[in-house]
Amino acid sequence: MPEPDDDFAQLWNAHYGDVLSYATRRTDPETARDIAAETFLVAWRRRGDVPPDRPFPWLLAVARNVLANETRGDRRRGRLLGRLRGDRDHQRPVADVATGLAEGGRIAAALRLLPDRDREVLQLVGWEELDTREAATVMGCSARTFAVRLHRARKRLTAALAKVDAGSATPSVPAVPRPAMTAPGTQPSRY
Amino acid sequence: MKHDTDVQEIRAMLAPANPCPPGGLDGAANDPVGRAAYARVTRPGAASSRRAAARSHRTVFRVAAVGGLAVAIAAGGTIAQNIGGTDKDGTRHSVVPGLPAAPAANAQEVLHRAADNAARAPFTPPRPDQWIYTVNRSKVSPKPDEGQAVGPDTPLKTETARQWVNYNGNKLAWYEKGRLVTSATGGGTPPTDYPTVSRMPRDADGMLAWARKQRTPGDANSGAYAMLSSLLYNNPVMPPAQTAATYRALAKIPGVRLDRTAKDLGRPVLSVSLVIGGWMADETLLDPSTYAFRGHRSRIVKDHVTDWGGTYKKGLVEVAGVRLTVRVVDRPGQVS
Repeated sequence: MPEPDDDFAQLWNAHYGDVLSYATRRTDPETARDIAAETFLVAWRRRGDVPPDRPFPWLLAVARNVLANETRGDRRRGRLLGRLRGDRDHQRPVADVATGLAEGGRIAAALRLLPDRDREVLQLVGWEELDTREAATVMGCSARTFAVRLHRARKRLTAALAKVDAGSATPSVPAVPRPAMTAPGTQPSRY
Repeated sequence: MKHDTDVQEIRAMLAPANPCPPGGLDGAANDPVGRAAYARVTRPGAASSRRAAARSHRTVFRVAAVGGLAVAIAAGGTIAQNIGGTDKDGTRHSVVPGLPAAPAANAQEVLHRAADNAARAPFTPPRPDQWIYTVNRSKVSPKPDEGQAVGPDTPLKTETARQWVNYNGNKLAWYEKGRLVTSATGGGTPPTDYPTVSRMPRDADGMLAWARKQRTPGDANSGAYAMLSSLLYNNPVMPPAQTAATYRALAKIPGVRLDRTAKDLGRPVLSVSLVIGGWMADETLLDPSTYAFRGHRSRIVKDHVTDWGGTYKKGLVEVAGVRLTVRVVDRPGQVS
């Protein structure tokens, strides 16, 4: 049981749910639990490295790497491919399923049209609600570089939305990660 | 400023598409799965263990997290669920690390009787709207830090866990400070929901083949054994055919032994066990008269120094857990 007076327990209590949310937004709920646990395992091992004033971006940077490894790894391949084959609806946001291309579905469809990096840049700000400096820490770049990327990604999202609205978005965009087909070094795709 | 505008606009745009809205997983840090993860992450040796080793624990670990008892097991850093069996004094059947499996015939006989009884027992399947209420009690040894040792004289910590799992195995409820708390749960291997378990193999060979196919830590036999015992532990309400098949599959695993002198948390039990890693007996505990499942125990059968430098002394019961109550009820919080 977490001890409230322990620094690490405090880190756990304050951020486990948010790290789990980050992973849940990018993979299936079961794998997300693994990602969160492994992220904190790294944090435990490197307790001295966790910035005490702003630990969350640091944790997300770790989680992002863990997720990338996980999605690439052989270990998950079978299960993820299994989901690819038969479980797409389960993987989609609830709102997406419930309302078809209502607002949530519309945005989600547009996000799927973007390159992985653009999508992650937007999601860190839009979903994790990080500011540019925090999100830059997660992406491993400077705040200035991140701001530029964000601005460009925002423009591409607008263009993608126009495509979705025009009905020209390709319906064959995969709904879940396709790790077996992901080249080493690339980011994990979502949905 | 341009970037601030971007940030605000992007948040507004993306919010409706957020698959997991902010705050949606509040409380996950301290739900049973979260607590078990915390225990695993912070256990001695977790930091120094190889990543691959840590990962290899995960499949079973996730399942173990379903139950309060299993949380204790996970916290104990044992491989999975229990089992094991052992001699109390080392004389009756001295446990020779690693085989050969001498008196397996007795364990097999016990397991076949357990299977026969399970297959014959009256059984009413739970309805899809019902919940399964269990009370488990466990005793857990502390973990030895680097340079420390735990042994038969080490005081154990006792925990009692009351919980409700729904029919589909995806909701878990428990009382926290007098309030009924419900959390999402489930997933992992072996399955922990009635519908999936009721579709599992109904024969021993099929069940054993299923267990051998799962990814588990350790060698094939101990992995299959852990998987089957975990199935029994995590599914207090199982169809008779699958319960019987599980016992008979356990009987087919080489190295399984019987201890007729074992006790759970005080009461006499039959212990069917397999020695894992040459130093820990994983025991499945059965009622001596009805052969019904009673719980599990992990017992150190040979002094062992862990990879982080802590020592487990022979004779220590590292964790013991007993299932005290199982009931099918209509709603979470209901006990009878």
